[in-house]
Order: sequence, then C-alpha cells, then structure tokens
Amino acid sequence: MSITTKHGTTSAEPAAATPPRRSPRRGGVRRTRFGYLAVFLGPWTLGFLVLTAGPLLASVYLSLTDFNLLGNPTFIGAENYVQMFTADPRFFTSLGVTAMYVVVSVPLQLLLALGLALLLNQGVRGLSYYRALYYLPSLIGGSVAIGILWRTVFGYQGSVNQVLRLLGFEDLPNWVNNPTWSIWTLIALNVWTFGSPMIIFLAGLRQIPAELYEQAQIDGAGAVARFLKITLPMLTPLIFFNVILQTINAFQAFTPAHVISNGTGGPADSTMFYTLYLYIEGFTRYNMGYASALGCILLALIGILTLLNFLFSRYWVFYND
Amino acid sequence: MYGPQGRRLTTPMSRRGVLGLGGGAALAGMLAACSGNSASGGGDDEIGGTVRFAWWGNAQRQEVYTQFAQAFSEQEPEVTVQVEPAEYSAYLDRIAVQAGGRDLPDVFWLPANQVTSYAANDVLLDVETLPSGVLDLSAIPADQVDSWRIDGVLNALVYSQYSPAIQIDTTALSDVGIDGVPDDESWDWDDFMALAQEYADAAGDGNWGIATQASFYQHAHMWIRQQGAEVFDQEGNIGFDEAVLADWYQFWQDGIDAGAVMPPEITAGQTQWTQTNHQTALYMVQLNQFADNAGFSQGHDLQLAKYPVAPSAGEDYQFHYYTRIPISAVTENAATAGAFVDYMLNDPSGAEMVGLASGIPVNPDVVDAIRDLGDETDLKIIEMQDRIDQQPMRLRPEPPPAGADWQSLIEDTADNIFNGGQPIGDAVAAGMADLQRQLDRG
Repeated sequence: MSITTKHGTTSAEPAAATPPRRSPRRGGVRRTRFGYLAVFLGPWTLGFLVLTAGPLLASVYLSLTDFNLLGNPTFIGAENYVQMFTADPRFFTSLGVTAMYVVVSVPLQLLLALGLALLLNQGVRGLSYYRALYYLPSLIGGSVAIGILWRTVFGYQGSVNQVLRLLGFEDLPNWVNNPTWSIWTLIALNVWTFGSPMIIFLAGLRQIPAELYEQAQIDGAGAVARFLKITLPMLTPLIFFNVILQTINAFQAFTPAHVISNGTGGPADSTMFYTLYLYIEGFTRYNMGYASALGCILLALIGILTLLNFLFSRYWVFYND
Repeated sequence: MYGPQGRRLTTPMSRRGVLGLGGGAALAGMLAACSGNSASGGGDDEIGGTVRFAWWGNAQRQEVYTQFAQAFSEQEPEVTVQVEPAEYSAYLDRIAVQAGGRDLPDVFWLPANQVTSYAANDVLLDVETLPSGVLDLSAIPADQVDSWRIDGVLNALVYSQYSPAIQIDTTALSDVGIDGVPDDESWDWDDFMALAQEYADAAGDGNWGIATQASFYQHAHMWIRQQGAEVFDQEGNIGFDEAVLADWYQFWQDGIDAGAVMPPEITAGQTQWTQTNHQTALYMVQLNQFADNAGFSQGHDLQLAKYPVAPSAGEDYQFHYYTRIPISAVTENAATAGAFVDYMLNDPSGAEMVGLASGIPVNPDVVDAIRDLGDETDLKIIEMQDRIDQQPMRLRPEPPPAGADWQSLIEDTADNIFNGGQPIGDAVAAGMADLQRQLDRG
C-alpha cells in the first residue's frame, strides 16, 4: 500500500497483521451447545426411534411375512397385499364402513364445534364452566365406559327408546343391534366429542382483530356477511388443522366400535371399522402378518389424504401473513 | 453450604451432575421395564422362586382361584405365585400378545380351540421332560391322559372338562302352570322347541322360552355331531357340509318366527343366562357355567337335562370340552411350574376351595371329595356329567392351527342371518368359504 503526502509517496507496508486471537473456548462452546441439544432432544429422539420408527419398520417387514404370533415370521413377499385386494371382501367392507364414518362424523362434529364456539364467543357469563363442560366428552368419549353406556342408552330398552315411546313412537329398533342404525350411533358418539375442536375454534375466534368487524359494520355488512367474509376466512387455518386432526382420529377410531359391537364389528359387519378388522385379524385370528399389511395400508391411506388436504389447502386456507 | 470461616462444606451439584443423575435414573427405569419376567429363582430341579399363573373367568372365579393359588405358597413357602387373571375375551387377547412377545406365564389356561396352534409352534413344554416326581398323574386313568396328547406329545394337560346340557328354570315353568321336566332320555328337538313355545305362550308378552343361542359354537358343535358329522376331521379339514349348519340356523329361525325364541334385535348379543333369565326359562348351558347361573337365579330352581336328540343321531355324539393347563416352553423354572400344575390337578383342597368353578376336575379323587361336600348344585352337575359319560363318545379332534377361530364361523354367520337379514344358505356358504380360506392359508 502506498501513501502520498506533501513530502512524496512512500509505501507503507501495513503492520504485520496480528493473527486473530483464537478463543480457546470456541470449540468448547460448540461442544457444550451440541451436548445440550443432545440432552434435550435425546428423550424425544429415543422415544421416536424405539416407540414409533422401530415398530413402524418392523410392521412393514411383518406385512411381507406369514406370522402367527406364536412362531417366527416367514417371508412371503406381497402375498398379504394380493390377498387383501383380490380375496378379502371384508377388507373393502371395513374400508367402506370407516369411510362413511369419517365423511359423515367429521364435518358434523366440526360444524357443531364451530357453532358452539360462535355462541360461546358472544360473551357468555360462566364461559369457563361451559368450556369445561363441553370439553368433557372429548376426554371420556373414547373410553370403554362410555362405549358400554352408549350400548345401553341405544339398546332396545335404553333411554333413547324410552323417551321415544313416551313421545308416542312404536316399533322402535334396537339401535346398536340394527345394521342400518348401528353405525349412526357411533357417528353420534364421535360428534358428541366436539369439545376439543370447539376449544380450538374458540381460541381462534378470540384472535380475529376486532377492527375488521368494526370496519365491516361501518361499511354496512350484516352479521351473515361478517361471518362469511371475515370470521370464516380468518378461521380457515384452524378449520384446516381440525379437519386434518379429526380425520386422522376418525380413521383410527377403535374403542367405541369394539365395545358397542362386542368386538365383532356387527351386526352384519355394519360397525366393522378398519382398525377393528385389523385387530380381529391380528389378535383373534393370529394373522399378524396380514394385520401388519392392513396397518401399512391404513398408514398410506391417511398419509395420502393428509397430503391431498395440504395440497388443496392453498385454494381455501387464508393465512394472514 | 458454608461452614465456619466461609469454607464450603458441600459442593453444589453441577449441571453435568444433574443431567447425569437424570440419565442414570432413566436408564435404570428402562432396564427395569425390560427386565426378565418369568419364574425367577430356583434351579432346574429345585422347587422355589416365583411362578406366574394365568386363567380366565368372572370376578367370583378370579377370587376363588386366587385363594387356591396362594394356598400353594403356604404349602411351599419358598414359592411365590404371581396370579394374572382376566375376563375371557381380554384373556385371549393378552395371551396372544404374550405369546408374540415370548412372555407367556409359566402356567396358564388354554382354550381347547387354541391348543394345536400353540403346540405346533413349540410354545408348550412337554411335561414328560419335567424332573421325576414333580408331576403325578397316577390318579387319572392312563388312557385318558394319553388322549390329551397333541401329535404324540403330552404338552397340554387337561385341568377340567365339561359337556353341554340343557338348563331348565323349573320355578319359572311352574309359575305359568307347566309342571315337570321332560324325559330327557327320549326328547328330540321338536319337543324342546314345543316346551319353549308352551312357556312363551303361557308367560305372555315380553317372555320367551329361550333366547337366540344360534351363535353359541359349543351347541352348534353338538348339533353337528348329532348329524353324524364333526367340525374338523382327523386331517384338519372341515368335517360337515353347508346343509348341516343351515339346518341349525333354520331351527332357530323357526323358533323366532313362532314366538318361542327371543329375537336377536331384543337380546342384542346379550344372550347369557345372567342377562335373559328374567324373560326366559330354558338355556343351552355348559356344565361349567351352571353353578354361576344357579347362583344368579334369585332363588329359582334350575335343573339340568340332557340334550334333545335328533332322530338320526347315533349314540356317540356326546363330547367333552377341555380347559387345558400347559406350561410355557420358555419358563425359567420348569420344576416349580410342574409342581404347581401337580397341585392344581391333585391337591384335595381344590375340592372345597374351587369345586366345579371351571368344570369337572379330571382327577376322580377330587371329584369324589366334591361329592362328599354335598353341595346341591355341585351334585346336580356331577350327576349330569356322570349320565353323559355313560354314553359312548366318539373322538373330538381339536381344531387344526388354522381353524382355531372356527367359532367365528358360527357367530358371524348367525349375525349375518339374524341381524343382517342375509338368507341362511348364502350366509352359511360365505361363512364356510371364509373358514376354508383360513385353512388354506395354513
């Protein structure tokens, strides 16, 4: 480097650069941070590997075997899958029953949840009590006790029929033992557990900026217009979330069908949920290889539906950012 | 913590120490959870340690067998019996999982339909490999013990046996003016349904002679044998044709249509005597259930009768069902497990503590001791079994491994017919095709 002054130009060699002083603790800081990362993520990682990924991979392998729980698995390739799609009518029956359950109960449940959330968002006195009360079915709805209670309530001499008889209805069916009506008792049970999505909707309603409504009112928008143009669009992320969550839950429903049908999926396979059929194949018929294949198909089905939901969400989910 | 002169007396735990302590605790917990589970203690030939015992039954049976099992510890103070009871369907699910995890209890009850499946996969111990003197079967006739072998191996001893019979609520019958029990040495199925009809007509609306028991596989089994067939033949093939099974369901359909049989839409699968006894008078019973039913019947007098007989039936249609009591092949203390089984089969205290809770004990000395106790209900059961045993009994092959779930054929077909409205012929054909598929799968 040269420096020009009134006295001329001189080259000024920069002073020899002092090598940067390396912090003796930099490598140690990195190791410490990694250590904390490992410690805090470790339990989850271990749990994921041992309790989720490991069994999942084992199940995929078992789906390619003939395994009766008692002996060792024997590799048979895709034979279980071939049988499933070509020689097992009950597979399609269980898919149909489950699909109907999902398609009907999830929208009904979310509609009820949203409706009640809107009501509770009106500034009701005792909101916390109502919130807890409506949330309670979500906690107990999947329990064996509720399943037994449901079977009694909807039985031939159950409370539902007793009330209907008082109202003058005659020739009433045994709702849980009638192949036409039994699935609807399960749908009703799932709809009854609306509390969980309701809480989420209620929280979402509280997040909507009040000034949007004020501006809309100033512009002359009525209640319906405000709901359709402000509330619904602002809630779409939560609706999307609830649709995903409740759809997955509905596909995995097992206890109500098992308890109400006494583990048979009856009457006449009308409550043969996919998970119940998987259970029967695995633990009653000792066809664990085939049951594993059913499990893999369920995983793929839920995965595909979730992916489709995400793909189509761009067309209807509004994110405020 | 600081002492005099500000000296530190204890060193506060560092973050590393806290994390290490937590990790150590987690590791200890994991190791405890994954630790061994079967009989511990005792050597190969020594009696001692812990033995796990599992069985199924209602609350009363769980209680009596828990007491009976714990009494073994009083006889053998160095042995601890760890009891694992469960209700029947939960029990079946649990042993399936335990079998898959190679974690079967040391000694456990096994339904007869499952025994060939378990035996074929070498999960049952050959009791003839037990140390000498541990297990004494001398009180049981040798040919009877031989008949328990599965493919020549004695790996599933029989703990108790029982036959199907007919239970009649004579109090309910006499309340509506029907006196006397039919002659059960000569009545047939028409006589049986006529009695049911008579009760239904006399008792009026809301009462029927019997609940629909078309889904009860043990009684369908009796029907099949009376037609000269068998569920499975010696080679493990289906031993009856569709017409035989279709007739069984037609019998019940005719009774429902006539008003003698409680319709399925009313029973809704709850067809046990304890659920229908206040509306019906007859019941197809297994003799091991009779004591419970008698205790549940609010003072009504229940009598036992032999099965009605189809006109074409031969003499040898009667049979026993077994409750088997194998020892797990993975037990770590075979001698102790064998000693416990010996106690279960031979100890005279079983007569008083357990009685006929699970059927007729296979040891005649225990049966005689029960007889001497003089309980009226027990005497009825023993007397009926004695009468049944006087008849010749042709062999009843245990179901092949792939046919262990044949009872689903009976239950699902009944469900499809009486709840699903499917024609009997179609439902039977579909059910048997499904069973054949399972057999073909092997």
